[in-house]
Amino acid sequence: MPVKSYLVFPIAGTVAQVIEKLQSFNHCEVLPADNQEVIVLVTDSDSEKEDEQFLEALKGDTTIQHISLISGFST
Amino acid sequence: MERKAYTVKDHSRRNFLKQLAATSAISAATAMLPKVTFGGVEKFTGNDKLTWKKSPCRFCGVGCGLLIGLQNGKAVAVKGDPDSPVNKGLCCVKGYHSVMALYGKDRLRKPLVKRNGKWVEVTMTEALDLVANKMKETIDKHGKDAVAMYGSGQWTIPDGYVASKFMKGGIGTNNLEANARLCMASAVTGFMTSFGLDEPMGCYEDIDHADVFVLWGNNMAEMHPVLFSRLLDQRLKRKSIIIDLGTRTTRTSLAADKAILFQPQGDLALANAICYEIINNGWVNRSFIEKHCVFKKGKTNIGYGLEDNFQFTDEPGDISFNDFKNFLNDYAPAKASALCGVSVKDIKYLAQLYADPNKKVMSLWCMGPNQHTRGTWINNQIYNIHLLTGKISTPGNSPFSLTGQPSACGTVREVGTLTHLLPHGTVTNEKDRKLAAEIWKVPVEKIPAKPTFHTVEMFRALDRGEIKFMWIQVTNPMVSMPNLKRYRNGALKEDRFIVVSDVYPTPTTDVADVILPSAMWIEREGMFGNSERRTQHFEKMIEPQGECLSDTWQIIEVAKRMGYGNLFPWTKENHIEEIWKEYTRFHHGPEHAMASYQELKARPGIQWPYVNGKETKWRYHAKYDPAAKGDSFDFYGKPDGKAWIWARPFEPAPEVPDKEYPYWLCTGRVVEHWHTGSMTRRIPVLHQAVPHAYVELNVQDAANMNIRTGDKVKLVSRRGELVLPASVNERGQPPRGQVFVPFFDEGLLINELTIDAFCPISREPEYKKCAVKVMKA
Ligand code: SF4
Repeated sequence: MPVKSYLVFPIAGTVAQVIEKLQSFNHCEVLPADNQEVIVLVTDSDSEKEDEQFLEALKGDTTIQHISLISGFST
Repeated sequence: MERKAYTVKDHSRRNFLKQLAATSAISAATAMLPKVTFGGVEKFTGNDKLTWKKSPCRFCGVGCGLLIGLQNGKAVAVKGDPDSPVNKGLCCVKGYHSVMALYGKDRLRKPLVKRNGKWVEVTMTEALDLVANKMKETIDKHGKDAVAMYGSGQWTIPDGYVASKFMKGGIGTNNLEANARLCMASAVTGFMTSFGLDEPMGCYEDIDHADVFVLWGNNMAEMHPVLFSRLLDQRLKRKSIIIDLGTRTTRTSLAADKAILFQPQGDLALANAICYEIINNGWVNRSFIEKHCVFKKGKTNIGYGLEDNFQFTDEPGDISFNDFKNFLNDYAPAKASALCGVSVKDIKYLAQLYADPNKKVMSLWCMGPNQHTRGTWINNQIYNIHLLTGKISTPGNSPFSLTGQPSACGTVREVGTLTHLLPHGTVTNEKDRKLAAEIWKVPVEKIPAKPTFHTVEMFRALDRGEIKFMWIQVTNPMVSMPNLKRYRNGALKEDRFIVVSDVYPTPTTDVADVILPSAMWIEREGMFGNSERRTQHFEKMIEPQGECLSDTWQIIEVAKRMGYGNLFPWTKENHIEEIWKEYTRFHHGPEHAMASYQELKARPGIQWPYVNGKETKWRYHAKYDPAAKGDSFDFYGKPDGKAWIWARPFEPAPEVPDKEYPYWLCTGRVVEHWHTGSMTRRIPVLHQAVPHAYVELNVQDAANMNIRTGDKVKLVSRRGELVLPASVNERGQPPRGQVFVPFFDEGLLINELTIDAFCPISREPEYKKCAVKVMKA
């Protein structure tokens, strides 16, 4: 049951779209910066498999410029 | 004491892990993007269940205002306080993770007494009885100067105040020192000799006005990260310029507009060369120096304090402007360049920047100039540049000496927890002793008029056996003292008795006879004072763990047992407020008046002098400072109302590389770890980021020795040796012939190699320069 955090950098001007998309996934919480175009994403998956599937889904997203894994815990 | 894994207690709460994961990401974002803020971190710990309370950060001297998220009696979240003028909602990686330092698995929760070589748990009452009895017995047998207390710039203001009252007003010994001697003493003597009063004239708001920032040996990007992001922000907004002067290439150098490397100890020649250029190009602010400055010279060839019982007193003598000008002839750019390694072109460039009448200049420095055998001198010399150009005490024109610890200013410098100091003034001054005696209600004869031992000499006295009993609080000298082996062996000698108050086992608790578990930070109430004369209050937010007791109350309990209870007539509930009321009687005039307890509780920090409800942002100028007379500058710290410009020469370091020991060794910190790592190494994210110390090598030197990153390297000095992994072309890059090692790792004690030489005026040791051999292990 991994808990992970990422920094998500959207393509300029697409922050709102990216936030909406991320919020549509299960077990995801997003925290957009107040003053810059970067989003903290925390995932709380039920299993490693769910975690992988989620990352796969993000890979093809053209509104996301870059996503970096920052920390991970398994419980 | 065995110390195994550095882990945090499992709270079995996914919310807690989510909060940690979120704060790690926020920290990473903060490191990448200056001024980025995140408002809604509480969502990761349950939307509506957190209570947020304000506190200064527990770690560095920047003194960021934090909001601590509390839930079910635990501190579970941190965010930067947007109302704090220090950090305006920002936070660095240490600040974001700071609450995790409360919950390390091996937190000390019970008092321990060493019996027959084994640690035995006892009650707090038993432990305090033993400490008091042992202290009393030592005084009866060997005299009051056989007991000593060694505290910290991480002491709260009340901790330091009761320590001073207990040692100087109760027992009647000046055997009181604090670890700020190891980091800030040269800043203090620099201020005292140039201006007659301690602490900066300016404040962090100078950052918002300055056009040029000159960093003297100060890796701000790692050591003062939130302030550095304020510098970067100003560069974005106003195109201000950042100049990094250092002895190695760091993260600060990479972010700066220009990085200039100087030879170790070369700062002394460089500062004089800048003054030479300013004077010889006619860039001096004549009217300013005529009205507001005088010129002085002191003793030269002043030694390095390497021998026990070293004594030195400087003797200021008057000189003229022309004498000063002639003195600088030895530092004409071409001559100075040979001493400092900075090109003539860069010396001229720096002088022009400082002298440009259209540019406001802020100089910033910290350990580089302070941990220096001529630390007082280089502090004076930076002031000289600002005084010659009149760029001082007005917004954006600011020589700014930064502190390292959260309350080095508040507790050590303002409360005066050093051998020669009192909460106001010095023990040598009869008027100051009388004031202390009056406020403390003790006979003035009780307070000795002679200072005893400064820190290095105090540990030498412990080694020699003149001190038999030492109580160490909130600091880890068995990692941080230079020439460490001597002082560890001294502490371990047969008839020494060592008491250590701390929150985790450390190499210092290893040499203790009694360990007192301390209530940490927000487990008790207190105040810190940061670099910009800002006092910040924090309330008790959570219950202390186990039998942990605040350092303040530990001292009061021992004092009561020794018959000094009348000095501390307060209850556990009201003592912090009462201490603050009593302490501020020492600082009542417009030069240092402080805010009331109630105001401190209500606001995210208040700067002193605080007069008629107004903070003083710039001292020594009548426009901003109620204590200044006339209509412009008034350096009222000196009897003549003038600032002193000192002729200070270049003198070499006590130990320079030679054939046998051909490399310079410099030591310091990394952004992830706080000082000796005893707290930050218990925070998994920080520990994993930098799990152990390493030695930074120059790329070419490493190639010549066939050393790559990760290879084992042996360093040998005249005092010790150490094997540690190499770091080549990574975070920091020393020039050829130099190596750098961070000191946070108790498993790789670099201070076994450093030299216990010190500045003869400030008595602050040299941690930045000694000679070593380097070889592949
Ligand atoms: S810069 Fe210093 S005071 Fe501010 S959050 Fe970081 S460690 Fe704490």
